[in-house]
Formats: sequence, C-alpha cells, structure tokens
Amino acid sequence: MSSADFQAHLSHSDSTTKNKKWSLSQQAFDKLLNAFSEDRDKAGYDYEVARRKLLRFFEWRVVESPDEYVDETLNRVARRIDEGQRIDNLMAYIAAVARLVLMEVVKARPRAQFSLDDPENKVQLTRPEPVEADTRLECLDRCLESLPEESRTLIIDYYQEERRVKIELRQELADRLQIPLNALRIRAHRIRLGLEKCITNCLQLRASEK
Amino acid sequence: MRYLLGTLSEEEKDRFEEMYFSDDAVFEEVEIAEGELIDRYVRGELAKSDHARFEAVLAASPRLGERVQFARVWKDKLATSHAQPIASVADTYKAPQAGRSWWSRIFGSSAESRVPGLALAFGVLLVLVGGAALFAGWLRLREESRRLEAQQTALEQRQRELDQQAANLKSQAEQLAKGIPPSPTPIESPQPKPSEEPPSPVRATFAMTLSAGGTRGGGSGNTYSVPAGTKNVQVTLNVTDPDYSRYQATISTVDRKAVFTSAWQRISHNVVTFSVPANRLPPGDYTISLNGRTSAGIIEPLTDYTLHIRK
Repeated sequence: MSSADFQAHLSHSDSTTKNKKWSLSQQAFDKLLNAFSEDRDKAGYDYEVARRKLLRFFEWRVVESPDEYVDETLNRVARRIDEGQRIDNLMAYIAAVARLVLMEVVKARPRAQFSLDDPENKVQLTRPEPVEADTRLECLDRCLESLPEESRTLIIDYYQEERRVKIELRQELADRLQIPLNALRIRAHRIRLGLEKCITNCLQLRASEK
Repeated sequence: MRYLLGTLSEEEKDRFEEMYFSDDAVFEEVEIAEGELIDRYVRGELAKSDHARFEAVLAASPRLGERVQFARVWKDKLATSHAQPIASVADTYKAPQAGRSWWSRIFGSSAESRVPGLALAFGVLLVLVGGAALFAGWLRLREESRRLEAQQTALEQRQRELDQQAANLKSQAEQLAKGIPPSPTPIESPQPKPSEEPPSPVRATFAMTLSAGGTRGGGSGNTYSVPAGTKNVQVTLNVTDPDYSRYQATISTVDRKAVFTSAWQRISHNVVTFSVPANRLPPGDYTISLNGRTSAGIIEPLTDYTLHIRK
C-alpha cells in the first residue's frame, strides 16, 4: 500500500468523516495495515480484499454510494486500532462494524425507499458514463489479445453456447484440462475479472486521450 | 444467488455474510455468482421480481453498472462467433497474422469487412447442417429398408409354411379318402422334410426401428412379427433429444415388468441401437423407456416408445 493509495483513500473518505473530530492519519492507516499483516505486501492485498468484501456487502444491501460506507467502515476500524484496541479477528471485527454502519444507513433513509414494487420509489439507474460501443469493443479486442493464449481460449470456450449445450461443453472443457468443473468455473471467473479490469483501464486511457 | 437476489431472511443473510467475510473461498463464490447473475440479467433470463431487485442494486452501484456493460459487449461478441465450432476458434489462436487482431481476421473490425466473413460462416454452417440432415435421412431410410427386408423375409417364410401346411392337409385328406390313417404331424406346426425342400432361411437377427408415439395393435406403427427362429432382435430407437452423452433403454411389459435393460451407450446419427434376445420379447405389448445421462452424470427420462409384437 503506497502513500498515493493512502492519499486516494483519505480524499475519498474525507466527505464521510469531515463532520467527525477524528480523521484518518498516515499513522492510523499504517496501524490498520499492520493489523492485517506485518508483511506489507500481504497487508496491502488483504486490505484490498477487505474493501472488495465491504463494497459488495453494501451494494447487495442496496445502499446508495456504497464506496462511502466502505471508507466509513474502514475508518472506524482504523480509529479503534489507533486508540489501542486489541483485535484478534480483524475480518470479523470489520464485518461487525460494517453491520453497524448499515444499521445507521437503514435508520436514516426513508422507509418507502425499500419498497421496490412502488414505482414512485424506483431508484434512478446509475449508468456508467456512456461510452461508444465501438470503443468498448475495441478495448475488448485489445484486452483479449493481451491475454495469454491459454487464458483466451479458455474464456471463449467457457462462455460458448447456451443452456444445456453450454453445460456439456464446460464439462468437456474441464475434462480436456483435467480439472474439476468448479475449478474451471473459478479459473474462468478470474480471467473474466482480469478482462473487465483491463477494459476499464483501456476506456480510461481512451477518455484521457480525447 | 439467493443472497444476491435478496431472498434470504435477515438471519440467513447475516450468517452468509459472516461466512464470506471470514472465508475468501466463499467470497470468491459470491463474486462468481455475481457474474452469473449479471449474465442472466443481460440475457433477459431473470424472473420479473429478480429483475426488479437486480435493477435496484444496479442503480446504486457504478461498479455493477460497468460489469453489466462488459457482459453486454461480451455477449454480443460471443453471439457473432456462436456459429463457429470451438476447435476452429482455438485453431485461429494458433495461426496469428501480423497487423490485425485474430478477431478482426475472422469477422473484420468494421461493419463492411464483417459482412463477407459472416456470409462465409453462414454458408459453411448451412452446408454442414444440410449435410448432417441428409446423412440422418439416409440413415433412417437405410434402417427402414432393412426393416422392410426383414418383414418381407418373414412373410415369405410364413407363406412357405402355409403352403406346406396346405400340402399336408391335402395329403391327409387323400390318405383319409383311401382309408389310410393320417400321419401324427401336428397341423399347427408342420415340419417340412429336409429331403423334400430346402430349409427355410432362419434369420439370427431381426431388426426393427421405432419412433416415439408408434401405434399399438394392428396399426402400421411400432408393430412387428418376429420370425420363428430369430435369436436376437436389433432395436433401433429414433432419438428426438440428442443432447445427452449416454443413453439407456429399458423394455417393460404392460404390467411394468422390466424384461430388458440396455447398456449406457452413445448416440450415433440420432439413433440408439441395441440387441435384445428374441426370447425376451414374446408376443404382447411393451413400453421402451429411453433415459439420457448428461456428462455431469444427471439421468433424465426422455421418451417412451410403444411396441407391439404379434404372432
């Protein structure tokens, strides 16, 4: 976790913590990382995994602006550590704090917002910035080409066909690679995540070139 | 998936969240399920309520919005390559050409250059599908021809038996008229003397081809007469659902007593063929139940065929 990452984290969390007396310092952030692991690289990795878990937690609990609450949760945990609290199971502690934050969000928002059936309460879809379809396709082509041949073959074969034929093909693919079906599923998922990340970077690069 | 669609109770949600916070493998499963849910959303496969719930989640998350965009592009991309067999897709990776992407080389990167590629792919597909259909038709005709040949042989044999029977009756009548006692040979099963005429051809195997929904009794559907002396009956089933990796047929009497079960076998040109000892199929009505097994080992009942064996 670099100093730049910390600054990014700090600036993002500023909006949610500006009304509180305590603010995240570099020292508190270092202590938080240290609580993940004494190995700095592993700590950085674990911190990112924790962020991903928190993000999905707030997203799938239908919380608007989930990023803000991810930062809020991590800031509260960092504060407790900075204040000297000993935490044996950090991930369980983070989960517990996330639940408290969620409860506060649920209490604060209007009850009607939960009724998805009421058309008046439908949330306006937050669509990503419109990107020309051709640009996205070009990025996909480029990212596919940048994959190792084995990964490229695997992800294309994995997503071929529909329904039952797809199930059969996946089994054949797993047999060919001599791995269980679930291992194939995980492998395809990891390649897909990498592909998605590559496309996001590509689109950002294209946008900055304009 | 139920967690993501919000159909778990609060208690179940809490428990599940505890699990994925403490276990990275469970969390990876959540991420995989998220990808699968997104795929189903972009393919329009979600139920109305699930669709609404997903859109609510989507509304609050730019990250998910981005993933949905990816899934759409990916789906379109795969749709254009859908007609191409996997092996050939894999082959294209192995023969890179300089300057253009592998994808562009197949379909072109612009709409103009994509048209001839798609037309060619479509043409090849038509030839393949047409060829396969013609071959399947030829196989069916061949099987039908074999079946008719077997029936004709059986009829000829029966005709010879009847001629022999008539000759015996005539002979007995003449003997009675002359006052000589008739021979003890039973009328119902005449035994032609080997010295008088050549032995009737005994077929070791009698072939029959069955289609689903054949008529019973005297209809012209799945009704057969197995010639006397037949050792084995070769049953060919026309399969309407050829997507399974293995097939197994069970022949049962009308009172559901199984008389024969075939081995699990692969389908070939949309037919499954197996051999049954003829003595297992005395005259009567039968049901042949065909089961399919997926490569994952799931067995599903497929089609029932009716069969009437007459004397």
